[in-house]
Amino acid sequence: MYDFLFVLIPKYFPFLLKGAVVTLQLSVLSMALGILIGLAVALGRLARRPWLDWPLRCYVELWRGVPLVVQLLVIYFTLPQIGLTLSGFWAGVLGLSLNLGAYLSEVFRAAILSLDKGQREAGLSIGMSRNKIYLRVILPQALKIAIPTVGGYFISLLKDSSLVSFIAVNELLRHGSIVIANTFLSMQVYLMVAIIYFVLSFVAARGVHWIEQRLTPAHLRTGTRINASPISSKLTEAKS
Amino acid sequence: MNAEPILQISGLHKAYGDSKILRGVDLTVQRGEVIFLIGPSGGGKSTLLRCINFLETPCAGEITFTGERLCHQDNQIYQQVDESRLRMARSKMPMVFQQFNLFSNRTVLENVIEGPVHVLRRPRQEAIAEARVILDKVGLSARLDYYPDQLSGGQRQRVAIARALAMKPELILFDEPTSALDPELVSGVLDTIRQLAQEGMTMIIVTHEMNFARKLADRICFVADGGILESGSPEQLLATPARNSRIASFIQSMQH
Repeated sequence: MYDFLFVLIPKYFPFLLKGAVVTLQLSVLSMALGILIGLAVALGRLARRPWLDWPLRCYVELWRGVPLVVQLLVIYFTLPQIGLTLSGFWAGVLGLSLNLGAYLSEVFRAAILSLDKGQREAGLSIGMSRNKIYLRVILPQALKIAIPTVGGYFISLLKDSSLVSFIAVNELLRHGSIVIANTFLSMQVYLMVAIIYFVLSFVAARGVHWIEQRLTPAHLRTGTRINASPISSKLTEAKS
Repeated sequence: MNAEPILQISGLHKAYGDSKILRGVDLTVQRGEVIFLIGPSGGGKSTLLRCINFLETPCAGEITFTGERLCHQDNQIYQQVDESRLRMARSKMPMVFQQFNLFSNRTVLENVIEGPVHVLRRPRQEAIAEARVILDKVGLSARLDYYPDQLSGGQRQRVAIARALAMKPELILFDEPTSALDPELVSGVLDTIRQLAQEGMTMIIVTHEMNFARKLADRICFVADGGILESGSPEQLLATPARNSRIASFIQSMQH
């Protein structure tokens, strides 16, 4: 125990943290791209154009039907043969974001479809354009609905990004493996790796919760409902 | 007073697949007129209203609104103006819905200024000032910063009416505005509509509130089987023993 805390941690932790930084970079970049892809695909599919719908549907089905690690290997080893060589890091970002985009497109699509068409019609009936209705009424609400699920995907992504170690990206797990290859201290090092992953995920989960709360109007926030804000007291007065 | 009718509909048809909802409706509305559409469920009242605002695309017919022909028949083929002209027309004849359909991510004030700022391109401050006046008129000046889900049904519907008024409309379409309300909340909404009628607002109102229609209507149209079977002043249509047995039995059933 003494050894673990005062010898191994000071010695190897900084190196592992460097890997963790790469894990974070991979995850944040892939998340941002994945959200853009997911949103674009969801909107494309909701546009009700058959020529657009079926290729997008193929993309979603294919990417959800092949294991992520296989997708990463294909991108890393096959794309160079058609002249597109990506570094391990960017191959990882591409693979993770395409995979995430496929899943998120369904999340966004479901969120948009869950909104009743009444608000859309109300927008139309006062002369708003379809794009404006989407931008100002539908998407803000749909994104709010999607946030908990998207946050869940981000937390999964933090951990799934470890698969990128298969294509030689020096992220957290691979740094762990490197240390183990040199020291044979597999138990201790994997424990450190596990702790770092857990801390990352835990902080991310709190972050998602914080964003969720921020986007909820004050009167609907959990936990604040009881303390009588000016609004809630006016509300009870109005209802009585 | 301008003699040109504000809205002129002729030969309006609408079908979904094989089921024909409207079979050639003709209706002319004069400026300042308050018209009630009554009749049995499924008779086509709401569809007629939604076709006027082009929420439903008619299958055939002609609609002219404030002198602009929005759709017509050209050699038996239905034609309508492009999206942007349609939007312009819609902004002048907003609709008030049975389910209110307020933008739930926006406050009361934001709901009301949405159209003026983003459709009519009015400066935000002016739009806010006008919205305050309108919301005061419908009795909601104390609720500007509330979200729709903090309001009662009656209050929501009055916000929806305010949202329509903020467009400075030529005509307001009401689709069963009180049908989703608890009985005790109906009167507030009806008072608001009554006030608009007194100010000379042109309105087409689909409703089941027969007493309200009787008191307020310039003209009542009895809609059934996809057409206007009969129309006339409340006295003509409701008070005298109806000439049409369908109307008589409908009115009878509404009085229970």
